[in-house]
Amino acid sequence: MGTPTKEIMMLAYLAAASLAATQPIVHEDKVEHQGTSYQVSYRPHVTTSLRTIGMSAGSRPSTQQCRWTATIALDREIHSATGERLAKRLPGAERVIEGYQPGHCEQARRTVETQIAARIESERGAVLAMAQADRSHVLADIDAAHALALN
Amino acid sequence: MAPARTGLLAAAILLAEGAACAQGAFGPQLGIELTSDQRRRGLSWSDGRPTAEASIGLPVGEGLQIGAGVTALRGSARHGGADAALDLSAHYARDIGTLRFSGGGTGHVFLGASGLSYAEIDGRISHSLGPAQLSIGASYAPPQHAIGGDNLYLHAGLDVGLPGTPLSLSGRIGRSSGSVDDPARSRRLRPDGRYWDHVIGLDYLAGPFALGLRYSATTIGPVDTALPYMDRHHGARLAGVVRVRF
Repeated sequence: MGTPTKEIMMLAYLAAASLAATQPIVHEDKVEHQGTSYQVSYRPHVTTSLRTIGMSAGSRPSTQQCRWTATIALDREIHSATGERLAKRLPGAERVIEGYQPGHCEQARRTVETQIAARIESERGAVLAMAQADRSHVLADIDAAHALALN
Repeated sequence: MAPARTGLLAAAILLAEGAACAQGAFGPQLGIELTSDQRRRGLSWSDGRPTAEASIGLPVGEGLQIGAGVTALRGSARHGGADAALDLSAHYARDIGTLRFSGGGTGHVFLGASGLSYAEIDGRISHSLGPAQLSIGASYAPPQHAIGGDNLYLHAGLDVGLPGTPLSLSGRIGRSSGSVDDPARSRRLRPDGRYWDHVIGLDYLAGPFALGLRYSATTIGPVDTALPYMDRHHGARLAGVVRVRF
C-alpha cells in the first residue's frame, strides 16, 4: 500500500466508483493435470465488524473505544482451458486481526477504515503464504470434481 | 502474484464489504471496573481505597442511551459515609460531520446516607482527528442542598490510540467552580473552593479487557479533615484499573 495520503485518495476514489469493486487476485498459478491446463487464482475475502465498547457520558473521562476485527479468508477459483470453473473458500485458512480507535465507531469510521486497510496490507505476506500452501490441495480437488462429475 | 494491484485493492475489499460493516452496538453494554482508587475530577470517591464499579448502558433509540452504574464508596467521608453511589443517566448523541454532540443528565444517588443525592446535566463535543479524539464538555449541577450550592465543571480531553498497538493514551484537564450556600456540603465537590484537576492515563486493550494506569492531581491544597464531608484524598495519585466490557 502506498502512503496514507494515497490510501485515503484510493479509498475516496473507490468509494465513489463502486462499492462492488472486484476483489484483487493475490496469487495466480498454473497446474497441469491429466493433459489439461488449469489456471488457479486466489482472492481474499474480508469481513469486518465494528463495535463500540465503553461509555462516554457525563463529566467522567470517556472509556469509549471502537473495537474492530477483520477476518481475511481466501477464495480459490480453478478455471480449465475449456471453460469449466471450480470455486471454493479455503477451509481453515483465515487470518483474524483486530484494533482499536478512541471514540464511537460511527464517528471514527473513516479512521478505522484506513487502519483496517493498512493492517490488511501488512498481512499480504501471510495471505500469500496461505495461497501457496494450497497448491497440494488443488490437484486433489480437481480429481474430486472429476469423480463427482463421472458419478 | 500482482503486488501493484494488491495494495490498491486491499482498500477496495474493505469498502466492498463496507455495507456489511455492521455497527454491532445496539445491544446492552455491561461493564465491570476494578480500581485501586476511584477518582472523579481528581477527588477520590472511594476513600482512597480499592473499589469496584458495575455498569450497564442500554440504547433505547437512535442516539439515545440510558445507563446505570453502582460504585462501592468504602464509607467515603466525602459522601457522608455512604456505602455506594448509584449513577443513573440518560444521554443523547448525534454526529454532524466529524463532530459528535452529546448531552444528557445524571442522577447520583447515595446509598446508606440520606439527603446527599444530587443531579447534574452535561454536554460534550468530540472530534475525531486521525487516531486522536479531542473533546470538550461541561457539567452543571443546579443549586441543590445536597452539594451546598451549584457546581460547574468544564473539561477538555485528548484520547489517542497508538497506531499498530493495543495501547491508548488519554489526558484531560478540568476546572470545578460554583456558588456556595452551605460551606460544609459544598466541600463534597470542591473541598477548598474552585480548583483545577488533570488526569493522564494509559490503557492496554485486549478484546473486552483493559488494563490501565491513571495519574491524577488537583490544585487543592492541605485541608482540615476534621470538617464535615472533608476528605483528604485529592492529591496526586497513581491508580491502577482493570476493566471488562461486553
